[in-house]
Amino acid sequence: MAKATLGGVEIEVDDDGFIQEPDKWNKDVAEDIGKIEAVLEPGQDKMGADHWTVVDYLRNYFLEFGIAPPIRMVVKKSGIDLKKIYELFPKGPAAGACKVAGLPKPTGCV
Amino acid sequence: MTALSYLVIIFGYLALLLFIFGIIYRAWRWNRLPQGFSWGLFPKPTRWVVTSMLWKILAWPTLFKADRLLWAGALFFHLGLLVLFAGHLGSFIDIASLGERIGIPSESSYVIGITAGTIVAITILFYISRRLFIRRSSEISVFADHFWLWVLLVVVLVGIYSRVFHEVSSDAVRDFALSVVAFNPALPPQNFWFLMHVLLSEFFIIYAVIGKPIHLVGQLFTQYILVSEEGS
Amino acid sequence: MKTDTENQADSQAKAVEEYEKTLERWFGEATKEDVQKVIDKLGEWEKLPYSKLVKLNLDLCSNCGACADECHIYKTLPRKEFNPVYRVKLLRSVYQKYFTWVGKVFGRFAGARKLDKELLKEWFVRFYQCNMCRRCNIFCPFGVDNMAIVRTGRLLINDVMGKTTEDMGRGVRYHLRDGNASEMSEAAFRNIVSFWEDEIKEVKGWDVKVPIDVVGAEMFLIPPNTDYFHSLETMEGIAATLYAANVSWTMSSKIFDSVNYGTFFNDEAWASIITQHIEEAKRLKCKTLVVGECGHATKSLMFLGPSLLGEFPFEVKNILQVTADLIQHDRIKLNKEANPETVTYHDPCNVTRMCGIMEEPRIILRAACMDFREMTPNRDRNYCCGGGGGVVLETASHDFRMEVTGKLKAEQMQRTGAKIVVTSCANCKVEISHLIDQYKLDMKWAGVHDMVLNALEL
Repeated sequence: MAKATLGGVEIEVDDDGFIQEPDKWNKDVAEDIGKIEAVLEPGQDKMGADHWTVVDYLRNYFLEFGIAPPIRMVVKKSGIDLKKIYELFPKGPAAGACKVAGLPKPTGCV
Repeated sequence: MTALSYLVIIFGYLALLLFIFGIIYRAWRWNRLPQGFSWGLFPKPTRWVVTSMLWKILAWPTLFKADRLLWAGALFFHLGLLVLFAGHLGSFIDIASLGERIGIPSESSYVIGITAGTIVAITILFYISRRLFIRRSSEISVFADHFWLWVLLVVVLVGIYSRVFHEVSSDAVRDFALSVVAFNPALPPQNFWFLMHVLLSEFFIIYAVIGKPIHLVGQLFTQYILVSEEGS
Repeated sequence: MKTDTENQADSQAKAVEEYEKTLERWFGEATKEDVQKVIDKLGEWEKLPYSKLVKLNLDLCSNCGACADECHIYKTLPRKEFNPVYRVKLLRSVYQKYFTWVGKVFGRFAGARKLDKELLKEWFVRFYQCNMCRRCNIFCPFGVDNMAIVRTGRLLINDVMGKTTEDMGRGVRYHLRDGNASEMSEAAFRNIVSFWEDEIKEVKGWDVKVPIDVVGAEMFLIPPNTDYFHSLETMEGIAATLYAANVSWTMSSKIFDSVNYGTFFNDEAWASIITQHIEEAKRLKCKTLVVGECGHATKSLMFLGPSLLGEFPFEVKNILQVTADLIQHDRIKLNKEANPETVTYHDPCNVTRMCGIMEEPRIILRAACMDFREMTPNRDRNYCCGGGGGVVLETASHDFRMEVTGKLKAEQMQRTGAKIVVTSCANCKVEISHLIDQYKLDMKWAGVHDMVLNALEL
């Protein structure tokens, strides 16, 4: 398992860049992952309000239920539609948004 | 020539023995293995199970859909073999008079035999060229796949050659064959090409039991697994 | 300048190479002991519960290659390594070398081959590239089964070295630990169930309550985990159908995931996951265990489970059979006009070739849609979507699936001219959704019950 320095902290990540130590996640970590996942333009280092709406929703859902919520639930509950999510997180809700929010990689036919 | 005659006789018994017991052994091995899972394929026939198996074993409808040329080649090959097999029964029984009773004049046996032999030889060449030139087949063929085709080709060609140029009378063949079956072998007709034909055939029969020609028997098991509802 | 064809060949080659590298990395390196253990284990192959099928393949296949052109992978990329015969020969040649006297005596001439570390690595790569769709089996003139060999190879490697592909292996670990492959807790399950209910209320206006843990209900339904994350309409359609038909049914708050990735590589895990399903069905005293829109789970529970673990004290059905039956007995009302677009149906290998459920989805779609159109070939002759055999579970296989295994399916879907591709397997839905994105096809994907949900009336 590889280590990466994100938000000034050393964190274990898997092959696809999902962090393996969810406790170490914080907003700086999120923004550092965002740079890697093309969420932030080169030179930019802060995510906008819409980014945080999605990330916070995912994060809170994960803390409550231990999994990533269904995409449709994210869209409905956060009020940000799927197209917009893809604009905010070019790699999509799973590989992009969930990764930034520090969730583990979703498993199964999902 | 006598040494060859003895070889023919010894290999004859060996082939007979291995053929009968080899096939029984292999079928027994297959049969006792577990097939706990019902791993058939759909659609399965709900009735006419036997008919549908026979249809698959005799007419190869799926091969027809997959590779029509191979299907046609294989059909001619197996039909040719069937005719040759029937003709060779003449070594044991008097099929000439049997043939005449169903309207095949005994003189035509020569033409029928040579034609069937030629068809089999041509289709073997077709098989071989497939294995040499068609990529999906050539890239997976090994020596053994070619080997038995060549053996059979030689058997057939020698058979045709001896029939055309060095014919042995069918009565002489029958006398010899029946003496072997009666476990009191007489000296075979002293004709080199005839003896080579018999010896090579015996060799092929032995090979058939350990090699791929066993698919004639093995298919009964695979096709049964495919149509059966339960594990067998 | 390169032509389109050349570019395509390049990207195909790259996708193959990358996934092969990943597979090799997952496999790592075998030791000499591993190799010996695999050989020993192969020597015990007769103990396999399906050794008859294995032995017949080993003995009968005559390398004719008739199946090669029927394999969607070889058809897309006719490389020697993708020839189904080449694939199974990797194992057959080793079997010949150590366990047949012909192979021992004649060695390479008979096609026999020594097993070494490199060959074992190739086993792993090739066996996990196969979709195990069994289409080749249909076209084999001798009726031999390549899938049985591919599975045996995966099994041997997993038994000896514990290796499998990454996400699939993790799914099984989670399943054995939590009772589902996606780390879902009961709270998460209940949360998503209530989301289904909200959505049904929104589109239908009905107060559907999904029954949970009702002992003695007639049907016990287990959908695949996909229905919780990726295709929620499918499960909403199922819940609405059973509600509209007033069927007595239930779900379980403990065992709510039908998938069983053990099917693809490990008999023990496979059996224990089936046992989880069976025990829960017994506890709920259901008459029928109904599997949702999921291919391999239907096969596992309907056929393989009973032959492995003995007859179940209940019946196993697929939801397609249940709904088709409800339609034929006029227990639900469908309004076709709700689905005016052209619809086509992709036959999942496991649902169709292995379980024989062919006409049921057609009965449903004809009743629920205005314009249903077949794709060719269809039913038992249909091509795999490209995600079968657990290949779709791996994130890393994406490009390989898009460029190679799924390409034929994308072309086939496009040829129908349909606006919606419907299918009834979670695995296929994921693969097809990726294909639509990748090839920018002007179509949507859906489950069979997504269409039912639209058309359903009280």
